[in-house]
Amino acid sequence: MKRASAALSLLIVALALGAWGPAGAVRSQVTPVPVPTPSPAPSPGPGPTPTPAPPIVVPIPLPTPTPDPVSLPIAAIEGPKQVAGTFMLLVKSHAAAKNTWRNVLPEAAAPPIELELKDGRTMLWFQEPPAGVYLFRLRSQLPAEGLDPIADVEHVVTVGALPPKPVPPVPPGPVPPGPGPTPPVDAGARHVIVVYETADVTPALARVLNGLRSGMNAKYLSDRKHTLSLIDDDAVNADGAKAALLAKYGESVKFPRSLIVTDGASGVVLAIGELTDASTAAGVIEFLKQNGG
Amino acid sequence: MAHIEINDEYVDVDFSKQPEFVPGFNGYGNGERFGDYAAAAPVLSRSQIVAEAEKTAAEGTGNAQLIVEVKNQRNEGSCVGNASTQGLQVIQARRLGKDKVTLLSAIATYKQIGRSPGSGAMVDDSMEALEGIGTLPLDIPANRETFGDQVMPATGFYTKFPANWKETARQFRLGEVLVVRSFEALLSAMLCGHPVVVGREGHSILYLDVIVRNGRLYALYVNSWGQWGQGAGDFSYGFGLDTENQIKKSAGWAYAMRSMVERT
Repeated sequence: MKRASAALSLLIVALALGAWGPAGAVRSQVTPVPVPTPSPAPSPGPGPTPTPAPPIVVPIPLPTPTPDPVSLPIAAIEGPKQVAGTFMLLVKSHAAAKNTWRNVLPEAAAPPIELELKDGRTMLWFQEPPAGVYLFRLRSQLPAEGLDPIADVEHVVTVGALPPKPVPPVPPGPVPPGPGPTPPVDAGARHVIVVYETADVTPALARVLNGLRSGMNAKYLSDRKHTLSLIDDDAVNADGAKAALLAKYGESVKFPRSLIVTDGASGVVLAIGELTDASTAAGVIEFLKQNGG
Repeated sequence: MAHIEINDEYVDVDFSKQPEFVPGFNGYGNGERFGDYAAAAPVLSRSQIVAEAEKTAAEGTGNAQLIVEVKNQRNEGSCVGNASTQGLQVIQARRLGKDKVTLLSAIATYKQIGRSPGSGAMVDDSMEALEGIGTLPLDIPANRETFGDQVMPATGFYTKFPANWKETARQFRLGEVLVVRSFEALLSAMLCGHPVVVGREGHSILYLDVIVRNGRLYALYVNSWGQWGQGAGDFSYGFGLDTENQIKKSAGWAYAMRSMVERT
């Protein structure tokens, strides 16, 4: 994410505060304000400062960050959920927290402009983004002994006039693919593929992966001639090229942790689900059974 | 892992006093070229480590379940090569399945980093070799059938590499290695499924799992002394445990192995 100039950031701080108010403000009391399209587009170079749209700058004192990690939420994402075009998000996280993003954005989406606000929040500005569903996931860890230092927050923005198709939910276990008539599935050998990012592996996911490779689950798979591939989403082969499995099924990788069931003989994708930290190896087997395995 | 019965005989073993001991761990080395685990992944707090370890134990899904072979370095100081190569086998077992692991030659790794059968080696050299060059399949009938003469025995420092061996070795390489520099990071890495190569008292071993007993933390490791040790996973031998004090000796500079390259 590139950074805009400091001069521009001051303008945008004002715009952002006018639009959403400071941290802790009651959102329902803020009159929705159309997000202005900045003109000209943000530029890191020097030049005349653009004139802000006058009525929406509300001088509200910036909150003073507190050093007490307990009194603050570890992380929060604030922003609109349905927009026609340009939109901004405000990201609040504790100063000592380490943030990891796992966003799922439309393919044509450009990276946002990222601005650090004076109150410690970060603003992400998506200018004229293509229509689609923007799913933002932030894992924020606060390394404080004795506390639960990890927070997972999620925010979804729908851009443009989309049909009322919800973003795939994050269920406790794998979910079948999107709506639509599902043809009957013949039982048979399956190839189950779990695609994940190694850096995103949690103990919960490790239990799922190892649980599929050992004990009753592994026996179930081998007894029925199913194959199982557990692969990092950026795995490469010995030549440095994308791993063949990812090249073949890359379009089916819909989630940060995707569960893909294919027909063992033809390779046709039969179902796609998502693994979460609430998923279990047994849940994966159940998903497989539901899809003919 | 299935419930681990802790055999006190194999807790906090002083390796240097064991009859199988051959000095081989010369230190961790520099390792600056590898990334820092704590910067690349969440590090759990102690309370989280305990909670997650108990869940993993309850489900029987520890990394020890992925061990398909207990290595035996015999009378050579190749422990670093053995521990590192074992780690790559663990990653293979997760990626491909235990029945599809290509058993690997520890001496093919050690020959790249040691000067003699008894010289020992440093762990960062082993990580660098396995990441950059790779190692060869173990000389067993199944591998001979697949790889022809592109195999090496488990021991025998003076065994020559086959011609063009690096073409085969590049198929058996590590993908990502990270340096672990704290007690919490070390245990977090194990709980996230990553084997960690550690060493102390002149010997290198592979940490696998976190065990909790009566509020105390243990690290379960696999050794490379054949039928030495207690059971875990599919084996009735080969394993030992370190308590917190011993773990901390290793926690300042260990190596977590996170991924492998795919064969072409």
